[in-house]
Amino acid sequence: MIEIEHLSKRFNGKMAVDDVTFTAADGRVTGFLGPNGAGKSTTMRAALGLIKPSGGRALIDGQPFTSMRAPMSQVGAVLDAKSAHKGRSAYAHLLSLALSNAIPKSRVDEVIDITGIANVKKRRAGAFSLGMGQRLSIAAALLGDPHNLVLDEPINGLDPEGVRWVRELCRYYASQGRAVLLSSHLMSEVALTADDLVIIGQGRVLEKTSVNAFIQEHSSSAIRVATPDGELLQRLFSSMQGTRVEPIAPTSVDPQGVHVFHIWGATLETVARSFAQSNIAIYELATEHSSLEQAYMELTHAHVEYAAQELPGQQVATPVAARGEDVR
Amino acid sequence: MSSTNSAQTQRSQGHGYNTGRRMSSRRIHLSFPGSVHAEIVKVLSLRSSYILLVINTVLIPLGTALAAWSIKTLNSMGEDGKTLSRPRALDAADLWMSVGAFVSTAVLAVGILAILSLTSEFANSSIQASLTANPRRAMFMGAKTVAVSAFTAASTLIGMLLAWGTAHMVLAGTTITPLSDAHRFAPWVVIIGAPIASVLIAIMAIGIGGICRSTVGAVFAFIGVMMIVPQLLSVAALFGNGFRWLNVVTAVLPNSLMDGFLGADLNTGMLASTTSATSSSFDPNWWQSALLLALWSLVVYLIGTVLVKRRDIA
Repeated sequence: MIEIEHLSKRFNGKMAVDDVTFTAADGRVTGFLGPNGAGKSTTMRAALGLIKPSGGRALIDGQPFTSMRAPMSQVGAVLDAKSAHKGRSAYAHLLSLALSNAIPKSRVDEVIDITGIANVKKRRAGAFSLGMGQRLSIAAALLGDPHNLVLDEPINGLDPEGVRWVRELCRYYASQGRAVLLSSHLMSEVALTADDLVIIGQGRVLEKTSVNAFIQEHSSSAIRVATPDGELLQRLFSSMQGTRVEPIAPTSVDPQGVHVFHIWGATLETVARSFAQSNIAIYELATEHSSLEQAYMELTHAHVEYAAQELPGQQVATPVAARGEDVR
Repeated sequence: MSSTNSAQTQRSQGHGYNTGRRMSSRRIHLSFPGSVHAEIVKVLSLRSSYILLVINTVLIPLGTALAAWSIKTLNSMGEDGKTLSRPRALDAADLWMSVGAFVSTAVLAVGILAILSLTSEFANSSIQASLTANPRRAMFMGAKTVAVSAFTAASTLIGMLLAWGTAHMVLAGTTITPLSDAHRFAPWVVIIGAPIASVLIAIMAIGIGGICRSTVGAVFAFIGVMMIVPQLLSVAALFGNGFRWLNVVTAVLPNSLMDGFLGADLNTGMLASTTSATSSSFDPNWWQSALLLALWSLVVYLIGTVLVKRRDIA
């Protein structure tokens, strides 16, 4: 179990992490989600004693990490895809880590096989691709067969097969009663892997919930309508109780001069029937589910540390992003 | 071949995920000897380590060969510059000074090795993996120091034994007058003192690495303390009587102390002028020099360790 208690860290007068409290429980994968610079890595490094917090503390199985008798069997950590000396072979890197904790040499070969880097174990780590480096970092984390896993964006650079493997690895470790803390800036990835969610932005916890609760709360759906009779449509729904119509910007695939709307609070069937009865011409009628990614982005939007300028001609105003399900 | 394959298949069929008794918490534990072993593997797994250790080992006898050859040449020349028909007898003190003549130059290689052993971890982010495996940073620094010291001592000792042989080879055929009673332990001071002095410099260099953390900064600081500062100070001391005190400062810099230590108080002979270029009112004997050198190592190492312990690893 990883407990973060009122953790704060100030770097050069700026709060990188501000009073963060959460628990990554045994038997569960805890997704730690936030935009770049939100404080995920700082929190994880503080939990591992690499960064001294300005306030609060982090406990692993009830103890500070730095006082552990066998650190590698308590926590396996992936903090960086490039974690080995560029001039050292993968095998020597893993062997040196294993020796410090009296882990048998046979275990080194085992994690090399598990992570699929047996063919390159004698090669210098500097010649590794990002994905191979990530596998090597994961191999190092698994060396001590740890009771807790701390994984900082472990899928960066991995191929699809590797991504799936990391997902299964997290699930497997949790199923064995171990605690897995998995950071990511991708909601979709965490939704597939995690049980619990901690969302962080600008150093503060924005939401602590479970993945299921988050999905339930944010999986609202709207009906997208493209019509040349915009006014007619708005008049029709203004009298219909419990529905809401919101004009949105047409996309490049929509026909010229078309009006596009989102209709909330009505079923597809009701909407279709109303259109038929009112003789409104419809070019498109489809249900759209709001994606978790979008909900997450809305939640963290005000807390983004590094925002890029929008590309010309792009409008990202609509809360409904994923298109195309239940198209009729 | 097929048995290897089947063993691999067996391992890859999920058994690596379940580790059993050999990975029990009773067996797995962090320890200082384990950490030293880890650091030994780190030193041995980098090509740069071999190159720097070999440079140290080779430079020592090479310097001795040059020094011994110049003594031999000077000894066979008359005051008018002509070659004597029978070369003068050579003081054994000069032989021993030639054996240790180049240790303080060769030590730059092991100093750089010591610096790299720490700063390269910061440069490659491997420090994160190292300190996650061993979060006790003082133990980590200590283990690194023991491992680097062991290789430094071995490399310098081999260099010294080769240098001893080289001196005898170059000076073969020359009559050598034995050491005076006062200097009878000098060979031991030179042969055993050289590895000790190299180790002390390596420990100091690890401290500099801990203070600077950047390889370039640490190497520059090390070369600065060992070579640039002493030279600047000796030049500055020439400006006049008001600057004479700078000679005392020069005399307590690591390079002068190392020469003083390995000079083994033999500086009465022919090489005296080359090894103690700066004469000052403060002139420690060999063991005083050794103690002062150890003090340098200790202080710089402690500052480096405290900084490594305190600073964040981002």
